[in-house]
Formats: sequence, C-alpha cells, structure tokens
Amino acid sequence: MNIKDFLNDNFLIFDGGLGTMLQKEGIAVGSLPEVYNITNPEIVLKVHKKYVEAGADVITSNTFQASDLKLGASGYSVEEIITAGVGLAKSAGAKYTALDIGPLGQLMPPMGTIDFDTAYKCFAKQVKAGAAAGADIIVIETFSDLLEAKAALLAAKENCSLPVFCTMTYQADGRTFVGTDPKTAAITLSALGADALGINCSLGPAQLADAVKETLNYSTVPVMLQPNAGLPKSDGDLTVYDVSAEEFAAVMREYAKLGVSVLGGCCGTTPEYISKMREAVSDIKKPHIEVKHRTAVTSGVKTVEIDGDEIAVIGERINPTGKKRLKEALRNADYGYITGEAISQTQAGADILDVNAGLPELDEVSVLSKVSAEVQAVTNLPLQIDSSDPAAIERAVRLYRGRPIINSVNGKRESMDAIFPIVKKYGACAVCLCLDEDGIPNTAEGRLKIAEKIVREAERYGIPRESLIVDCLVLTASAQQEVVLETLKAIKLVRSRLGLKTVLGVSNVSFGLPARGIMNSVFLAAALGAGLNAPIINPLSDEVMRAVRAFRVINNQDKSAKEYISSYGEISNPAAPTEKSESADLKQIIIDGQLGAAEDAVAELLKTTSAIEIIDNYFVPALNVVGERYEKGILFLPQLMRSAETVQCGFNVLKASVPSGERVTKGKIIVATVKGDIHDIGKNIAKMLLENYGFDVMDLGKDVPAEKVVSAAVEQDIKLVGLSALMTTTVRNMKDTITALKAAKPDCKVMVGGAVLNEEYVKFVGADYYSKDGQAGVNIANEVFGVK
Amino acid sequence: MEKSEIKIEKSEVLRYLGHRGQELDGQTLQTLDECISETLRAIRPRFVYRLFDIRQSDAGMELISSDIMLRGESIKRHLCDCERCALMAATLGIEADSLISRSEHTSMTRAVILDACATDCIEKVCDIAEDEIKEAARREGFNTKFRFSAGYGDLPLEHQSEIIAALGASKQIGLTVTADNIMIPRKSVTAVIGFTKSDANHQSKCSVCENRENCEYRR
Repeated sequence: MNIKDFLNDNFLIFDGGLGTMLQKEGIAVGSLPEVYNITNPEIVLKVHKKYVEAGADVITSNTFQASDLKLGASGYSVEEIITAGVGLAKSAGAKYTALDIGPLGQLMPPMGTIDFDTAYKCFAKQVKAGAAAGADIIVIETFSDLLEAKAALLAAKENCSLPVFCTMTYQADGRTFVGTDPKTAAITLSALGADALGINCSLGPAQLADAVKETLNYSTVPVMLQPNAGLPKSDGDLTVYDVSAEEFAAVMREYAKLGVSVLGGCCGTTPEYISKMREAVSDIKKPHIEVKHRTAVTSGVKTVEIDGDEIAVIGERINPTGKKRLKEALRNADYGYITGEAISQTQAGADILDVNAGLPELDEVSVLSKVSAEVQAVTNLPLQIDSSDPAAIERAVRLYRGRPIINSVNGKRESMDAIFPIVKKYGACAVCLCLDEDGIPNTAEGRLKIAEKIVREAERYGIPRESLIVDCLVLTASAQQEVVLETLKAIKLVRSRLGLKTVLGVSNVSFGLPARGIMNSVFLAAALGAGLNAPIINPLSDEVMRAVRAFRVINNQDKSAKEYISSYGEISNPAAPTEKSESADLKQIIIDGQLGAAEDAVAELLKTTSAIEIIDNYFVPALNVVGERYEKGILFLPQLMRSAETVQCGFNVLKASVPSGERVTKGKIIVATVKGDIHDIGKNIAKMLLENYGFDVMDLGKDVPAEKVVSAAVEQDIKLVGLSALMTTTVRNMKDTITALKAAKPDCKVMVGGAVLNEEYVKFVGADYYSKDGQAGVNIANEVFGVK
Repeated sequence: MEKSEIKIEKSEVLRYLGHRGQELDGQTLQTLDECISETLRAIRPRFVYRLFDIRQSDAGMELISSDIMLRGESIKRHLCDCERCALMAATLGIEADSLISRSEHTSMTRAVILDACATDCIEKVCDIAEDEIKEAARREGFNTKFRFSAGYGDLPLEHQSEIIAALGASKQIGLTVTADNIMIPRKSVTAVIGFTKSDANHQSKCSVCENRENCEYRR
C-alpha cells in the first residue's frame, strides 16, 4: 500500500536513533557513519533489523550526511553511499524505506556562504540517488533553517515523485538554532507541499509539548514527531539520555491522541523505545484532524496571520515608482539605501514589506531576488514580492525564506495563467486585483465578479482560497471622485460573500490632491471600517499610522490598547529634544560626534553654501582633526566612529539635496571582503570613512569571488580597490583576487586590511598598500587620487 | 546554561576597542552600557564538551576512540604532560551575528561596540564551560591547562570541522564551519583543554601565538 494511503488510516511508526546504535557498535567518534554502508554493511543491517523487529513501519537509511559537502574527503561518492544505504534499509524487511537527508552542515546567506543553488544541487543529487535505489519516501530531517529545508523540499519535489516528510529541530526556548518557531515552520512547509511535517531531535518528548501543539495547530498535513530519549548527559566519555523507554512511550501516546500520526525517535532511542511506543499506541484510534484555514505569511523567523477583522500594515516604500532616490540606488546597486528603507519601515510598525525593483533598464529577475535577500537580512518581517514580470516573481519567491505574498495576479487570462502556477508551486499568498481585460469595473458588483472569477480559477489549480487576498482597487478622487465609495462597498462584498481577506493600495486615492496625508488617513479609516485587512501604505507617515493604531483599538486587536498607549501615551508631553548642539558650528558638531545635530546644521549651511564647499570646508577639516587625534591615541575607535557617523548623517542631507548627475567625487573606489570571508565590519568602517572624505565607494559586499572584483574594476575603470580578509585561510583568496586584478588592470592599485594581515602578508598577497585601519585607508586613497 | 551567569566586563570590551586610557565621554559610556545589555538580550549561548584519552605520536596528539589527530609541535608541547583532554565548543548563537550586522546598517559606532561586547561575551561563555570541565577533571584527579584552539601556534585551522564533528556540535549547539574553516555563528570558539596530574602551568596563551610580536591585544 502506498505510504500516504497507509497513513490515512494508521499511525506510521518510524525507527529510532541510528547514530546511537552505531556508536554502541563502536564507530569512531567524529567519523562519518555513512561510510559504514560500504565498509561495515553487516553492522548497519543488523541495526535496521532490530528496529524492524521492534515494530517500525519505516526504516530510515543511513544517509543523514551523504551530501557532496560532507562526503568530500571520504573517498566515496554520494551515489555509492546512498545506493548502498537505501539498499541496506530495504533489505531489513520493513514496510517502507525512507531516504534520510540531513542539513548540509553549513549555513546559507546572510548567515553563511552556501547559496540556494548550491544547496539545491547537493540535495537534488541525493534525491535522485535515493529514488533510483528504491526509497519509498524522502525524509528531510533535523533542519534549523527554513530556506535550507525549502531547498531540500524543492529538490525532492522536482526530482522524484515520492512523498516528502520534513522535520525541524527546536531548542528549549522553542526556536531552532537560526530562530525559526514551530508555527512559522508548520505554515511554510505545509504551503510548500510537504506531505508530513514536524519535529525531531534536540529534546525529550515532554519538553517538546508546546512545539508539538503549535505544529498540530498550524500544519495542514500529518504531523511527525521523533524526539530524543531526553537530554544528552556526559557520563565519563559516553553520552547517555535521561528519559526511559517507558516514559518515552507514555508521552508519545499522549501526542498520538492529540493527533501526531507519524511517530519515531531520534538520538538515544534504541529499539526498546520504538517497541514500547508501538505498543503504547496500539489501542488508540487515530484521531481525525480538522484542518484550519488561515491567511498567514511568514519570514524565516516570524508569522503574520491575518485573522478575522485584524489588520496588517504592508509597507510600500521599497518601490521605485516615483521615487528618484530609490531608482538611483537600484541602478547603482546601492543596497544600503534600500535596507535603510526596510529598517525604518520595520521600526515604524509595518507588519509586512512590499519589495518592488522594477526599472526598465535593470535585469529584474536577478535584481528583485537580490533586493529581497538584502531586505530579509535586515528585517524579520515577511515580504510581499511585487513585480509585473512572472519570471522575476518566480525567482524571488523561490529564493525567499518563508511564505511570501505575491503582488499580483489579476482577472486577465494571461495574468492568471502566468502567476497561479507560481502561487501553487511555492504555496504563496497572492494579491488579486479586481481588474481584467475590460479594465477596472466602476461598480462594486463588477469588482466582486472579477474576484469570484479569480477565486474559481485559483481553485482549479488547487490553491486554497484563503491564500488569496483581494485588492478591490481605489481610483483617484481627483479624477474619478464618483466611484471612490464603490471601493468600500466592494471590500464589504468580498469580505461577506467570498469570506476572503482584502488588501488595498490606499495612497492612490489622494493622487493629484494637496495634503495627501489627510486624504490618505481618512480614506484608510473608512476602508478599515469597511473591512480592509491589509492596507499598503507608507508606515513612516504619522497620519496613516495613527489611523492604523487607533483602529486596532477599535477592532479589539490591540488588547488593552497597549501599543496605542505606548505610541501616543506621552504625545502631549514630548520628550526633551536629544542633545541639540549649543554650538551651531558644523565642524565642532562633527568633532564632538553630536549625532543628532548634524542634519540640521548641514541643512542650514546648504542655504548659503554649496555641497562641495561643505565637504571641503567642514567635513574634511573636522574629520582630519578627529583622525589625527585617533592616530595619536587621544581618541579611540568608538569616538572616531561616532564622528564619522555624524558626517554620514550630514552626507545624507547633501545627497538628498544634490541631483545625482551633479555629484562631485574625489575618486571611485571598490571595496570588498574576499571570497570565503563573511565578516565585514572592518571593511564597512573603511567604507564609511572613505565616503565621508568625499570618495565614491562601490561596495561589492562580503564573500566576493575574484571575477566579480575584476569585472567591476575593469567596467568602472577603477584606480583603487580595497580588499579585506579576516582569516589566514582566506588570505589565499586575497592573493588570487589581486593576481587576477593586476593581470586584467595593471594600473589599478590595491590596498588590503583585516585582522590577520601584517606587512609580511601584504607582500605575499601582492598588494600595493597595507591599511592597518580605516583611517589609514583614507590616507592611502588621498595619496592615490592626489588629494591634499 | 543560564544567561544570568554571564557578566560582560566593561574593561575587557574597552580593551577590544583599543582603549588605552583615553577620556571616556558620557555618550560613549552610555552607548557601551546599552550595547552590553543589548548583547545579553540577543545571545543564545550554548556549549558542548566531551572527554578523551590522548596519546602522543610523531605527528601530534591522537584523541583515542575518535578519528582525530591534532597535528603539530605546539599542541604536542602544550599537552606533553597530559593523558586526557576535553574537547569543547561554545557559541553565542546566530543572533549575535545578526545583531552586529544589522547594527552596521543603522550605526557603525554601535556595531563596533556590539562586536567587542560579543567578543568578550563568548570568552565568558567559554569560562563557564571551562569551569564545568575543570570540575570534571578534578573529580578524576586532574588539573587542567589553558584552552588551546585551532590556529594557536601551528595547530591547523583545518581541525575545526573534525572537532565540530566529534562533538556533534552542529546538532548540539548549531555550530557550523565553512569550507575556509570559518566558524558560523562568528562568535564561537572550539578548544582543547589538557588534563594533567602535574601542577597546572601558568604559560600564557600569548606565548604560543605567532602574531605575538605585532598584536595590539597582547597581554
């Protein structure tokens, strides 16, 4: 019988801790147990058979670490280990054999260096080998990072037709090592199409109670549980676990009654545990679990659920339409500006961020994914992936850590044909615009009809209707005043007749009118009253956020008005202004590092002075004073940094006031942290100081391959490149980068810095200059560009 | 372990920041205090260790019943009077990395200070792990030597991945290592602690370091 059919009517019992049993058989500590599939097959088979005798329906192959990354030096290929491993599991005589896939043991960006495509390729190779060897299901287990689990899940779904089970591992504080909680994992993995999902390893069964309940509550597929035999304790040189087989079985029985239907064990669970557990659930009838329908989106570490009449604010600011500064940032790959927008919206109280990178001259497929990744690195909020290009949407959604919203699909045949396959495959939510080939209907009824059509079509794809969030669209009051109220009526109809949640780009209503904030906030309040759930707005606008926070008290979402009171409780009693400078002298402000004072001082000066004069007569002389004091040891690093940051604040005012075409630069410099190195705080300090002195700095980021540095330097005709390396092991990569750079562009000078570097290493890598700190980098740049 | 056991030392944080007696203004002191509390709020400290018998050979030190041979002269010298050792790994968790890198987007001053706080913090977590290991050693009648890490002297960084595998540190505490032997989370430490019957010696860590001549942090 097919395993999914079997699971419909029965508990499915997995085996226990294979590693534990192999250690009992004397496997060397730290060696790869997977190699035993070939060197000691009889031992692996013996262990498998013991679990079959104990009553396991499924035997998991000894292939947890059988990836290219882990097997590297073992002398065996992925195919050899997996073919042997699945073969041994099959010959143990259980009902089903599972191909076991564990995490790669290295992290993905922004934490680590293994990119999605590399991870996917590793997993795909394992999946193909396991399917070819005759596995019945794929088990992806012990994951911490949802994006890595997603890569594995997609690799399984796209390379075989076997059912895929997926488990995450949680610590005592209820989160995985990278911060994912059980609710977020259950929502994301269900949406991605896991056939069962759950929890394994880390803790004993009793300590997992909260995680199990959350998972049962939010999963839409069968729930799987494989706890440890308690917590590991060192007993001399051995590891022992503190929960007995009886206790283990008793707790598992309770979980089975609650609805956990796939049961097994992890570290420390010997065949005795499995046998006792099998017996403990033998007299329980598998309960029927009612699946709850929810509209919820996730990031890697957070869920935003839109429940009932609750509202969630979608921040609209990362969208270049009509925003000069953002367009410029996108063209120059200046992600610092974009992440700044993400951070400020997060701090202002957004719940979800819209991300749009659509500029005709850019390759949106790569840029949108890049922007989405950069934004995810600085915020915990879920994202709404916004594009008119289905290919750009698909790539960004595929690489997204969590369950995103897709913005958008509409009632046009072409749109639904292109977008719904993506919504279905990646389990996303989707913004559904009430327009079609005939445009936007003037009446609420007309818009409802389109919404109905979109829902019908989505259901043909098997997309759950609660993933659809309907945008009833608002026309501008200045042009089509007579139909503005139709939007509010349509929202009511969609909520009441279709039972769906609604989203709306609110600001459109005020286009062409003065004092747009007033219009926006009043219309927003009306729309919220009509049942709008997810306004797409500017969370930096106080006026609209006041309406949001007030409404959250009215709709009983902000319990006891906590957030409202903390936001506005002291509104009549504003805090004293922060350290306003007594001296208006910009130079002194910088020297003292008065962070709050620079912007006003620069704005004031700009009335009478040009930007370049401000740089030359204020920024640079003040920074020179600070730099000199730092070099003499009168100031230390945090004080230097604060002055530098003060200048940076001033620079932001200059940038906003000077058209980009007219910007004066003292020279363009590339900075990068070399391939393999992911620690870039030193490089970022150097970058900030260089920018403060008026240099144009192109930051290629961290873990940058040599080719990327070379091509950027050649394309932009760069005279100075700054490279940073932290570890002796990556100094090699620095040397390779410099060698390639000098070959391609001999006139380009290179300065290097980083914790392990010294004059000796500088010669070894072939650099022109050693920059012992950021301040030294400025002196080098001044020399290279002949700045006095 | 409980976070409340960890005390970040302001004087150590200042040392990492290159402070040598400069006048500390109020703003700097306030930021420092804020960063210390922020670090303690963010971190998820964990450690794991395991004891091994050891045997000296020509190439280095062999950890019996494991696959590990610690190579080089420095480790041989360091453990010459030891018959056992503890292998340990400790981390502040990925939250420390993310706190620092996110701060780089809003305030480099804070980022630099947070980085120094985390550096001292992981030392303190190692101290707590070491206390537990010392206790285990004492029960067996041993004294312990100072923590010796891959990268000290000629002990190759390539051992990182073996140490992590031997401790099951990926599964136990979420510690990983890249192909270039960089540990992630960044604020993590692995170390060997020798168990000796002789008096614990007072050799300093700095004396085995190849960078001792030009290191500004040398004690």
